Amino acid sequence: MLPAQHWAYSFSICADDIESITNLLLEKETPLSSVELATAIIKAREDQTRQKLTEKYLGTKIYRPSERYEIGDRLIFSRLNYATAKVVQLRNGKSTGHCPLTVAAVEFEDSIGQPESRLREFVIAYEQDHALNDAEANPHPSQLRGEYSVADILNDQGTTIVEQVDDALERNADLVRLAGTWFVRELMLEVDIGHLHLAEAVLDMNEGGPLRPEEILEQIGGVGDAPLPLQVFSLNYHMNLDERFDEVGPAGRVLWHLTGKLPRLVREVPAILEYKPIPFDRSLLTREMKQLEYDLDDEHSPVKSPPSEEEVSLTLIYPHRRVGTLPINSETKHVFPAAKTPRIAITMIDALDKTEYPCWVVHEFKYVVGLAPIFQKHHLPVGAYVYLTPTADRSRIEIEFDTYRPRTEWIPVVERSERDLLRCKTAKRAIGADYDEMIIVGVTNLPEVDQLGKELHAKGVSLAQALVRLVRELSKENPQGTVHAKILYSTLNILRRCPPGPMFAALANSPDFEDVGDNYWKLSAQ
Amino acid sequence: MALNYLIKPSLETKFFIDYDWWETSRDDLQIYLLTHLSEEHQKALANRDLQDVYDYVHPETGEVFALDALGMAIRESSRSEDFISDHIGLIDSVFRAFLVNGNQPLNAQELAAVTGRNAATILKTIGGVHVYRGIRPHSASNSVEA
Repeated sequence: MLPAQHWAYSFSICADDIESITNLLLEKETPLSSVELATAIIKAREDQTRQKLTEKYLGTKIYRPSERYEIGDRLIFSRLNYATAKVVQLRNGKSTGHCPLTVAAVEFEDSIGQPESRLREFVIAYEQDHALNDAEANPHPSQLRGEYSVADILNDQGTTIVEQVDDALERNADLVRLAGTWFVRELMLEVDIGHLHLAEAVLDMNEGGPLRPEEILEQIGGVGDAPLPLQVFSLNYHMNLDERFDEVGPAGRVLWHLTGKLPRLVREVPAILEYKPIPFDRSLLTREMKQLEYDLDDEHSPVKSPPSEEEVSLTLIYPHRRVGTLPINSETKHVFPAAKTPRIAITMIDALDKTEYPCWVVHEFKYVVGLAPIFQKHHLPVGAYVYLTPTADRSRIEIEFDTYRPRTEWIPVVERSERDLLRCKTAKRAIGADYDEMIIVGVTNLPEVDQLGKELHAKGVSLAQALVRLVRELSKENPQGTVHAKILYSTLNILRRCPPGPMFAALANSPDFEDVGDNYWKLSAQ
Repeated sequence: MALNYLIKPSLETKFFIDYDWWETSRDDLQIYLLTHLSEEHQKALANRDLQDVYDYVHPETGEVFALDALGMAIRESSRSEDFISDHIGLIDSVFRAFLVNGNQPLNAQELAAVTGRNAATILKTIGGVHVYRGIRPHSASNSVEA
């Protein structure tokens, strides 16, 4: 087949391409995506290539050994990369058999159409079988159809046409890009302050949003008679410039919300989840510690995980259970949608009863907020196992737990002691889902414990000092006087947000602690 | 032209028939080529003048090449399905593979696919210091410096 698509590998966008796609936008009067614009360029290039080939092969005959040709005929040789040559001589050939042989000497053309000096000879009027005699297998190039589509070129890893279109258009001040589509700035519809006030009112009546621009347009009666995609584009452009509106859709989809009505946890991190990075020496961490750090997969740990095609799981620690958030850690970040906007409105679906919960992905704060109702509904304890399954729609995610009918169980609980410490004991609690026995912990009198955390912070109690108190308290019931690092991590995060890395470094770096193996620690004998 | 003793051929090393080797060989190329002809073609050749030049039609491109009577007989014989078979020795089998493909360089794996022999055995045989029937590594192919 003709290597016609080879141009795509060496494609370089030029001024003519920019002009033609600008004209296309003007002609269609509707915004187009980079892929649509790249498709138009590809089709134009294909047409050019086809036109050139048509000119090159005009008046030529495909070479087939069985056919007879005359001096002056122009032939195409499919087995020689569709090279063209002119018949300049004919002679009788000499064969070892009895059948006659006619030989045509041909003069090939070089790359600029000039005749090559050396003549080559080909058999013609050949009476014996030959592979090139089959007209279907050896058709004239004008009858060839490409065995590839525009999509093949776009999806080919070796081509960069879409990227080049984006780069070139970014530099063109006459064009505007919004949500992956382009349009001509001057031809955008006029959206005045009245339209924007109406949009604000519509969002306000809908609890702040999120709403699609099409829904807003429908309720405000549109912004003119232009095609809907252009109305949407123009409205999006102007809403984007107005601070009253926040774009909260996942990549490729626009959703609007009133900035003033965004949930508080979407705009600011609650104190209980706020982590001020603690500098520490990672070289202090043993392989065992790093393994546990990987298993715990705290969103503030420098852990990387490959994307999973199936569900991902996590264990709920106290701060997230308390606030109703899920961490965006190394695994869950592949499940939640990405976007250029800082906040993304999503829907979490309870896999058990299919109830839908509006939630927000806040990549900046490394959490997804809005899950408190579902945690409460299932009586989830701290340490509960959570399973997330992406759906075909990246903005809809299924959430599941190992739930059972809530039953009363004895679990470890902490409370504030008279000596301004955390006191640990066991107490009965209604539990509705399976959990990690080393992470589970209940808290008695939340305001007092919250206050204790604040006071420790105000007093400047160091991480190592806090850990000494915790190890002493948590190991007191253990005959060996040890406590597992996982329990320590879970309890420490009741008082202050801290990923495992700094905690391990503090344990390893202080003479107050002794590593007794298998991630168990105790206070040193000294 | 790469020298055998300077390179260590690998399974990727291409080989070909070095007809220059035959110039200095004690063996006669023409006599050896005759051994590759079928009985039928040997008889036909006996009735032809070996100096006569014929027009050979390439089976894939239709291009015409001038060949002497022996060359034509070899080409015609090579079209036979049992031209390369288990009934001949490994060296002859490899030599015939190059006769069939017009002496296009092939590596041991490609030769194994054509001849049905083991690639490692082929490499061990034609990749050693001794040159059999002019079959040598092709200078343009990849070899590991020994």
